[in-house]
Amino acid sequence: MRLFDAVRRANQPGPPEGSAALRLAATGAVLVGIGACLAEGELSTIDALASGVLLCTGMLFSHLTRERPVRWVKPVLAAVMIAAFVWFFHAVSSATTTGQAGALEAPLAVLFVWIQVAHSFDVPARRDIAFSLAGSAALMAVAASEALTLRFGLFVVAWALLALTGLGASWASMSHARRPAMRQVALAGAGALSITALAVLVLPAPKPSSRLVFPSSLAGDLPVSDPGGLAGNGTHATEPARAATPSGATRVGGFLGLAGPLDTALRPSLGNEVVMRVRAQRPTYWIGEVYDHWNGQSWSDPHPGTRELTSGSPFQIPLPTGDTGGGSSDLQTFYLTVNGPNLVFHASDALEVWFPERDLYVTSNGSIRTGVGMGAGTVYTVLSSVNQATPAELETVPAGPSAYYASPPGQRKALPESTKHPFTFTVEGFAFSQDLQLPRAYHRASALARRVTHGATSRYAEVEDLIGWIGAHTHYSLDIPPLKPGQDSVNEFLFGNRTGFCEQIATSLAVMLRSLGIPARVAAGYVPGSYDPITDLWQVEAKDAHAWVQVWFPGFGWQSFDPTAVVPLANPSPGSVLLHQAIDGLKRIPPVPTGSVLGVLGVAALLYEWRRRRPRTWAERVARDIERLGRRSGRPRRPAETLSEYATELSAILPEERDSLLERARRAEQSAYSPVKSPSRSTTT
Amino acid sequence: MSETLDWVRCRRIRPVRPGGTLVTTVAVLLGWEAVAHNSGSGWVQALGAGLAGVLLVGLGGGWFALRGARLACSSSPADGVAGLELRIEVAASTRVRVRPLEPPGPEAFAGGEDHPSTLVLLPTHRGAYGSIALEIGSAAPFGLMWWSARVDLPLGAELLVSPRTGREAAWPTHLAYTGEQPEVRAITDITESRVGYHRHIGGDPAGARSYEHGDERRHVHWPATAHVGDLMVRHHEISVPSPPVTLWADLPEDGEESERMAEGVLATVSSLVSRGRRVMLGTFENGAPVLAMVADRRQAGRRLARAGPKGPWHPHEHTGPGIVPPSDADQAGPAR
Amino acid sequence: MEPTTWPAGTSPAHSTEGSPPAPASGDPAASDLARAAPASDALRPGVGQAGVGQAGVGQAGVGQAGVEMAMTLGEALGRNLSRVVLGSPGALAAAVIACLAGGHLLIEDVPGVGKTMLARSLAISLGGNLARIQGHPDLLPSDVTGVSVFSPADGTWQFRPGPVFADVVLFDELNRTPPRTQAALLEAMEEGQVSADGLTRPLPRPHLVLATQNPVTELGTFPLVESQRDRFALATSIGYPAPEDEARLALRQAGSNAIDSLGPVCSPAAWLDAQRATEAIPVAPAIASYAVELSRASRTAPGIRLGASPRATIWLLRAARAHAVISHRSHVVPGDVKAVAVACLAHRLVAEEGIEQAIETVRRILDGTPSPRP
Repeated sequence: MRLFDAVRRANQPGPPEGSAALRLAATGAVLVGIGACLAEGELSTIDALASGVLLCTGMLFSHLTRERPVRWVKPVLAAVMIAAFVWFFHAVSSATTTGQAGALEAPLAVLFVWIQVAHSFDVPARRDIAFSLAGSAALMAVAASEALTLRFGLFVVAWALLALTGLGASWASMSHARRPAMRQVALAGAGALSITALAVLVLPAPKPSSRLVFPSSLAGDLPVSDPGGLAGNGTHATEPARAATPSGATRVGGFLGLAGPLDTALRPSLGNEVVMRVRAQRPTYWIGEVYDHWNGQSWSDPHPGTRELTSGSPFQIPLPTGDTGGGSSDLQTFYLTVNGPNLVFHASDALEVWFPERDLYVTSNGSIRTGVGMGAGTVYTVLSSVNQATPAELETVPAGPSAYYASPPGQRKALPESTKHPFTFTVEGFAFSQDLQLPRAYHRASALARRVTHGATSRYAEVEDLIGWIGAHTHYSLDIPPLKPGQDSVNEFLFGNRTGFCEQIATSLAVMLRSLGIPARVAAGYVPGSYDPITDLWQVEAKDAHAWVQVWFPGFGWQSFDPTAVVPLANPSPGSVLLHQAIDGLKRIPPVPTGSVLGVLGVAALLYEWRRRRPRTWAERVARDIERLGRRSGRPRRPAETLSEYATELSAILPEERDSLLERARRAEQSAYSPVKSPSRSTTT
Repeated sequence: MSETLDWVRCRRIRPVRPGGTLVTTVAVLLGWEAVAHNSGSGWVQALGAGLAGVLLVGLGGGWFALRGARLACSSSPADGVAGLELRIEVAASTRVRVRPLEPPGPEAFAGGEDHPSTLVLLPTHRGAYGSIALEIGSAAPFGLMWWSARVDLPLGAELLVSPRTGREAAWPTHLAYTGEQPEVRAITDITESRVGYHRHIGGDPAGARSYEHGDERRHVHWPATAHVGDLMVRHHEISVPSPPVTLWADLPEDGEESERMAEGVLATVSSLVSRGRRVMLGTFENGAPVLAMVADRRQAGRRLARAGPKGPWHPHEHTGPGIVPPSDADQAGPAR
Repeated sequence: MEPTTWPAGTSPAHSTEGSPPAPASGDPAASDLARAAPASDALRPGVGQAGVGQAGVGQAGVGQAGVEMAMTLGEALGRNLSRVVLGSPGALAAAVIACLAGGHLLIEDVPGVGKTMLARSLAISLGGNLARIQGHPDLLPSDVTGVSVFSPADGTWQFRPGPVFADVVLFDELNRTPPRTQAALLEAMEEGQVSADGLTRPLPRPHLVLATQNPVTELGTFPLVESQRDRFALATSIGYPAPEDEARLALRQAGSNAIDSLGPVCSPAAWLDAQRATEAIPVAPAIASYAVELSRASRTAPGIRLGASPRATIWLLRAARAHAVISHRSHVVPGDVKAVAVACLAHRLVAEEGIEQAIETVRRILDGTPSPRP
């Protein structure tokens, strides 16, 4: 019985809430939440409009009937809410593809919105309005889970302002104040903002969890003519990706490498457009394609062993030929923002891919292709294994050719049982013929490589020596003359102008390594891009396209080396050097301590300013209030006027305030000019 | 610029029943962070950080509001009567909830745009208040959690709450008088108060009149008594005001009993004064005796407001007022 | 209220109380006589007895109770005056302020508007004795201060005090008197004493000189010297009454008819207490600076040959205190200073184009000086 009483008492709504500011702010916050869900594509326009109109109607209805709640409303609303839940579970359970992006969020958003709408018809008391306000936070959260860009910040700012106003109005209503103390609310908002900034700086970045659903969705189902092959070879301008032609410039997303052959004779022009956003546990190079075959001018991937996977999402990807697998697993979700090639990007070796299609193609060297072209808005998730060995580990591989090298069992890294794969190839007896292939005997390059690596004791030292030589003797520039037909780009780069960009540099390193008998190949893809701490996404722009070298290390698999990273910029101007030094210096400043120090200083400055501007005496504040009132009424105080005279003048304008004005002015003057201190305490007669 | 008002600040600010609110807050934030961190959405986490900021500010804001709050009594009456409400005006630098504790009263909100705010006190007992005890509360800026502090707010002038007018002490008829100089003779009446008479008769005899309470036996005019058949006393010509009656209010320690007795004394004094008698009221303030004329009920109430039990008073050590000459007693107390 | 929180009275009226001021000359014989001088008060028993009899009240007169008493007195005084003088609240307020501030009052107006009536009713209301001096060109200084006459009975010279020894002195048409006689008033007004025949005789306390004067443009007048004008705390004018008031005057419902039924509202001793209580009202530093600003501004104002003296500033604050009292306040606000500024300053300024320009200048200064803000 006592429990029943307690429950009944807890369910009593409290006195009717008359504060229009609180109600309006709560309504506005919910409307902003609905707008955010609409903007993130979780609500249809019809849904959003209908719920918005109904919400306003409901709030108005609640406001008008707050004194005498209508009895039949509660059961109707309960029925509506139960119906909404039933619909939600039905919608979620009947979602066709598991792992579809937004499969859960969209029904959740709809459910939340309709609960809010239903609730809005029964909001008589302050507590009910507070529930609406809290519910708008849930709506914002659902919308935020789909937000990828900073644009969502506009909704957040609008919602935060309304929510703060609502909370301030709630306290004003609680304390029977006539209107919220906006200064106090603003100050509190500033405090909340600094705590927020600190929390954003301090909290670890969110990461995709393997326990939750992986987002994937396909947008813009673009046709691919050759299943298993790469879409577009310059034939159709509308296709998502195409190789550049000697005459035409590349389009955005049409990096020379990411479709068909990688032609080093062509010169790319890459823009700043965001190509995709990547959510990843750690930044790595996003590999799109790997090339084995070099013909002196362009790399190509003949994909002799392409196989089709038809398991449906998630796809289990076989380890590429000769790879050992292993390493730590890592999740990446790619959000394409422009039409892209039908390549699935990944880090090192992909293990599993969530992609909402029936089939997927994997080449023998690990490039993954889709059967359809991926338009802007496509989302897929890849579980990759990153096996980055340390230099010390790599030093154990001896120098010299290893074409027929079979790693002794003791040096092989033991693979964890869980990552063993049904398609694992064995390393022993595998010939790296395609990774040692050279179109001709590069005598000069070979001699150069031998000379540079003379004395190196390990394969790792050989690679580092060559990278060091390239770094010391060549210059980086995107602006190099086009290659003449029949010219070899390696010879031109190493012994000609010694100027080039990633393609030339990576190609030269790969060719020199191959001439030494070391298996090497060129990988193309993107560097991680820039990190956005708010959305927690890596933004990859078109200019982040890159090519680098992968070298075979027995027992460790393919290891990536980026020879471009050590090549100095061509003709550095003093200004650009200084600029880079300054930027590097800035980058070295630790963000968290600096941010917190700046935050604390900012708060201290705010407090100081507030204290300084706060009137020292009560009288001063009253005087200021009266002056402010007068200014708003269009009659500012003349300097010669005393406060009482001014109040008398003002009361002619504001007759309804007359008594209060005169009394306040009188008391303020008494307080200011009467030096008698009241006796604080007199106990004796 | 000097300030008239005596501002006080809050010390020892405490949260009001923080458990539930804190647990809820921590649960919400941890839950939110768990979802945000594992769902891998940066915006959800950023929103959660914002929520944390608002909740923390909302929880702790009351402390800051009280910390910065200053209170003063801008106007207070000098007199009150136990059981009747009285109003004081309170100025506060920020919006706070004020609940009078001693003397008690209903809670009200002060500060903000109301300057000054009216506070209703409902004293239940007599007493002299140099300051009143208030419980100040605030849940600024968002109304999420209440903080409160106890302050002693000094009043502009001492507030003297006189006792209620109680039942008049049944006037004792078995009093003994001496004809000597003013003498105080302690007797016990129904209210347990010590009541004494102080009589002095001077002037020339000018006849006889009927006996009244308080007349000395020595002054009984026996021949006239025999003639009239009722007790008669000698009548004196000089029209000195009727001699003052001296009452000593020797109140006990116990609060309720003391209150009842003070009410009885006040009733007695009022009755005497209304019958045109001059009353000299003796009380003990801080243990020290104070003897002074009271002209009316209000003065008597004010005296009784301060009165306490008889204490260990040593005339040579005590620097207090002691016995107040009757002539000055009328002017005692601040003029209002 | 605790008396200790109030500053002790600093008025010169207090410092001279009880101890006769030093004689003007250094003659030892004179100083002997000077010590005996208070005995001359015995000639006027009314003053002396009243002062002694109410000494106790005088002690209680400072403090909140004193100020409240002063408020009551001011109000009663104002009510009394308004029964006689109709429709000139400014002049009445100036008169009450002069009484409370302990300053002298100059009434400048054309004849026949009730200057003398105001002065007479003031004297009656204050309960003091009134002496009236009619200014005319043949008036001698001794006609004002008094004269020593030979007493054939005991063969000594005895001082017959002049009309200036009354509590309230009404000097009618002061500017018809030659400057020599005007100067005889100087010491009496400022020092509160009269030096005659080598002896310094204190005037009764409180002491109020009410002077009326016709505008100097009229014929046969001697303009007041600057120092004389500076000694008047306040100057005011009465102005013509409103038609209905004039009708009442004509029907003898007010004015001289009413004055016959007028009674005193206080004794000179109570009046003195009120002055002391008024004098003891503290003035906030900001307001003092404001008064100083006003005076300083008058010294550099265009068209003004001679600005307000420091004495003017002192009287500005004293009058402001009194204005606070009649406004039922025990503290001075900037509005008090503004209210009395014209009455207090204008007549002291030597303007190129007469009193109207001086008044206009003071008004302009008031509009141009920022008033203190809490």
